[in-house]
Amino acid sequence: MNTAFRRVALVGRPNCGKTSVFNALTGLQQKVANYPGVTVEYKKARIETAMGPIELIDLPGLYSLTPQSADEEITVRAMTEGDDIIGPLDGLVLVGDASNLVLCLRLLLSLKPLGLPIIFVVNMMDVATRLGLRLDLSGLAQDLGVTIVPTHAHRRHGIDDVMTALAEVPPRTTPLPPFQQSETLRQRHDRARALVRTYVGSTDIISSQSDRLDRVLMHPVWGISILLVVLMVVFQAVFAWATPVMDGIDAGVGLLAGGVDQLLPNGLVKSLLIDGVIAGVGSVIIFLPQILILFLFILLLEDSGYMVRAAVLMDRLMGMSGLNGRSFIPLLSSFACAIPGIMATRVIPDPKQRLVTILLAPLMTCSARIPVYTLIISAFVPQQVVGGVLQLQGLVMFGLYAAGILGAIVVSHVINWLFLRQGVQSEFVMELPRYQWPNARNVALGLVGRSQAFLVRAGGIIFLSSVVIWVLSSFPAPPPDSTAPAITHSLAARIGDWLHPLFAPVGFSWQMAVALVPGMAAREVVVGALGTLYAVGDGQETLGSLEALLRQQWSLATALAFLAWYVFAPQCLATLATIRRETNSWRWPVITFVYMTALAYGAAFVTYRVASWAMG
Amino acid sequence: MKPSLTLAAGGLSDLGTKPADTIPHLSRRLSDLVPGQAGRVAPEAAHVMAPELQTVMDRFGLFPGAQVQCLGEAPFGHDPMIIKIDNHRLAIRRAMAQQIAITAEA
Repeated sequence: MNTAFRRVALVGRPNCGKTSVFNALTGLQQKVANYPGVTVEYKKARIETAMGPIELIDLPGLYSLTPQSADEEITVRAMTEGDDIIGPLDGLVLVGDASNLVLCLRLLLSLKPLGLPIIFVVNMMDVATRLGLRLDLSGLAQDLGVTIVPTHAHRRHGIDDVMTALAEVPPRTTPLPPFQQSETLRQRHDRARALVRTYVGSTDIISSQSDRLDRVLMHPVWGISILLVVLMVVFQAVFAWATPVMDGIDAGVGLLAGGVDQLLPNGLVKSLLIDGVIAGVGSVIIFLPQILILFLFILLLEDSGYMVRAAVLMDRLMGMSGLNGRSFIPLLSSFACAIPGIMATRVIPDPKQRLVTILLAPLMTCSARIPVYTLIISAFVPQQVVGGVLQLQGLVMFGLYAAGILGAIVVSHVINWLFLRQGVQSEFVMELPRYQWPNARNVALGLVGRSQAFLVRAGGIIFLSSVVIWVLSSFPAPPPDSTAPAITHSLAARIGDWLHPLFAPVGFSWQMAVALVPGMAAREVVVGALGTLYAVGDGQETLGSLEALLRQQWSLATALAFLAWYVFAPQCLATLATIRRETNSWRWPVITFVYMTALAYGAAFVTYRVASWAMG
Repeated sequence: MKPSLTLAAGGLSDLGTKPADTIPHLSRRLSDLVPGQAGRVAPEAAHVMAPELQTVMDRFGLFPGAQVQCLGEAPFGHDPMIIKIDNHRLAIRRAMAQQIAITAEA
């Protein structure tokens, strides 16, 4: 089967600059595709060459043709068998790192028997030059019988030559010969080293700029200090820089709702638009500034090569929870939102480690909890200074964050013991890429891709759950003569009523039990729901008066129990749906829901009882 | 002298839980390198071979004769250590580095 375009796959070891080459070749035309059944993504793009169109496929990085992860398996399958999803290939572009050719050449030697034409892109030529390496690429090309193109993809050097080489890839007319590897890995490795000795010079270690940087950035004292500063800057940015934009979005959503309110007659359609659609979409995009800033920093840190260092620095600390350094970034991202955090676990190759990380991510204090915490703390915790310097309110906030982390440490041990039955893993090997200045194009393309993924995956679910919750909160409609808030007649209220006896032992009022139902759409929704239920200003968010009202209605013990509940409760359908998607099974979202609810209930119960007792 | 090492198959998991000094030191180990020191990967027979280790060594080219250098150590418990092999940098947990024999730098 031969269609009008040729299909060429980009392959290479991780960290060789493959993505930079792909970005330089394709720009914005790239699309992210999901491999069905597994959480493996690959990118593809249609490009025009002098000799007709080519579909370029960026396959996940691989170390060898013996697959060790789901990612590698897809790559190997696509190259060797040609699979139905990616389609048959006409050629390969192998991207290698000029300053470190041994392993790239070894991979090239194992790809050659596939029978596909290979363009060997020797990237990062700038680094090789800086290290004083003199590469005899024409000699190497002749020896290997492949086309070699030197590039420096960050600066787009050599990309036109790759295009020219791509144009000349012939359409394949015959089926691939059966794949047979005639040499052992060891033999290929020795051959690759011999090639490097002949065409580059010594294979011995050269000290580079990156090593000197690592001496500082990985230093036991300086390294940790710098990491802490970096994390503080990221947090500061996520929470401080995003606020004006979030306020703007909030105001915009308010205006839009107001406009619809003016335009449409009262009724179901208006209510669905304002309370379901606009509120639902609003609750998604309100977090977009934070998530974009978070993604921006993650991309900058990844592209510069620092991210892996952070993972290594934190490895032992993560080890205390039976995890390793790779879980650090996903869990860190979860402080903004668990959804991008859970999506980021794809970089963890060990499926069990990945699963534990996914289950722990919702325990990190996400930004949707902040409005809830802020409301309760400012209503119930006095503004006083403790020990001369510390604000009591800030201290409580810190305590809530710490409670989430402590909970995660305990839960990880329980999960390991209950479900996975594995000891602390000793295996942890990570390659540290060379430091480089982040490339604007790579970061921008990454930001677009990840935001799209977030909006499509999380947005759809949050929107859908908002509409479902709206239905629950609006039907059945209140009788015309009712003066109570409409929600008190709804299904949500019935669920809340039904739940209330369960929540009485932890000190929750029926209004609180009812508010937890719409709060399932997203945590911060509970604030508005409480406002509606306590009939503050007709559901408009007048936080000041809600605070005063809650102070009258709730005891301190109830307020603290509510905080404890929110530290652990799985009050976010989108997170559960993301877990379902990422684990490809209902089992883990159900387990997450059950364990988090149990933990939340236990914490609220203990808090309520202890606080009631302490108050006398 | 060729060191002979007799350790039960699947020794890696046992070793992970043992304190470092109970592991027989028949030769120098990758984990013995202090930052700045270099060595070469020893002949195969000297390593404590577990399947996971074999994968890692294959993947990153830790084959006999390859030059390795210790670049540094992470802060907590000096673990993982950061090594350079050929011209790439790896972070590797000490428990794993203990299984890899090296010869002193020639």
